[in-house]
Amino acid sequence: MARPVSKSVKEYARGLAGGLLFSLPLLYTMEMWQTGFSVGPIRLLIGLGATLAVLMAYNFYAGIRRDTTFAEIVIDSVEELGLALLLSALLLWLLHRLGPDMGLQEITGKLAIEVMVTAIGISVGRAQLGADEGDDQGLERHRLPHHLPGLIAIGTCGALLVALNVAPTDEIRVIALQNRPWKLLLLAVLSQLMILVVLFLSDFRGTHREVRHTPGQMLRSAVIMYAVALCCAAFLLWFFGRLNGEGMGVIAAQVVVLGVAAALGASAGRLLLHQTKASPK
Amino acid sequence: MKQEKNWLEWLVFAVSAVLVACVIGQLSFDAINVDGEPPSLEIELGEPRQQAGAYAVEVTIRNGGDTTAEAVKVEVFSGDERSELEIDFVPRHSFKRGWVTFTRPPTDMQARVLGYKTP
Repeated sequence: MARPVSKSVKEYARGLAGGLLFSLPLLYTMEMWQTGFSVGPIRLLIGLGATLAVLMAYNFYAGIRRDTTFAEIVIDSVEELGLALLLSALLLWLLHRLGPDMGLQEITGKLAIEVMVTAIGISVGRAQLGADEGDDQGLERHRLPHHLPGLIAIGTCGALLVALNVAPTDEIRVIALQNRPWKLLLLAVLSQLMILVVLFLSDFRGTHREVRHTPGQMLRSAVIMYAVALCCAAFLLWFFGRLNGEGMGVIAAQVVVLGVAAALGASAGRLLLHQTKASPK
Repeated sequence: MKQEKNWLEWLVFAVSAVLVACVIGQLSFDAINVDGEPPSLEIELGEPRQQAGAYAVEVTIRNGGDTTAEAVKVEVFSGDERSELEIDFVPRHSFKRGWVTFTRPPTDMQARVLGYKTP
């Protein structure tokens, strides 16, 4: 029995709304367009590959699908990338950032870079923006908040989604260069605290059916999540060419500065991207 | 309770697969052919056009290299008159246009790129 078309239309509309919600600030960001044509094709390919991997992980752990075979996850992820390409192309064209007088490389470059955040936004929108209850029969068994691969997958997704908004800007570098070392340390402490608070909150939300977690488990999750956030921050900085020719101290400072945004995303991601709904049983 | 995909979902998937394949194909093709050559800029001057008491000349800068050129400065001489133009970015294998103006009818125009940096 095929799914009714109206239901699919609704689902795509939710996805597109999510895509716009998360990517609009970046479609309006000059550094994004510039990065699109200044980083080489190899880096863009790595970026696309990473996006696809994040999409597949997100679709596996928090996606909308009733049954998640590997093929379905791939199909969904490719769909999300494709929709993101269309949406980004439309918006960039409307903003007069794409035109027939540009080289093919410039056009693909701009699209490839904008598609990263748009695709993740679409995936989140599809799964979370007011999905009908009965729709979401995904992997309940994977929905344990402290399940390690799930923790990392959802954390990465949230960290990228939030950190991408500030990663391409010059401000990260300016802050990293001008800040005092002890304040950078405080920023790192703040990131950790933020993660702990959100973990504590999400543990409350999950109480209706899950065992409460010991402080030791929480601390372990918080450290893992901060590590995920720092890795995402470093990857993004490398991707945008912010680490070229910088000394170790400046690199570490930039990673910590961007790490605040990434940590916020990684932890808040649990509340935003991964709502635990009351199970029907 | 497995539900099969309807025609719309297959259509969206097919279009998406083609689009994604195109982008990945183009990037891969590009990756194989790019050797990371530095920017290589060529200037082309258009015909002078008289407007608002000045003579405007169209300048086309073409970057044949594999690297984007940033903050490109161009200088154009017409006889003993000098004009200059700055263009923020000329992406690799692309071109950008600008105009320089002169007060007298341009003769014997000479153009050269003063300098640029890579992002």
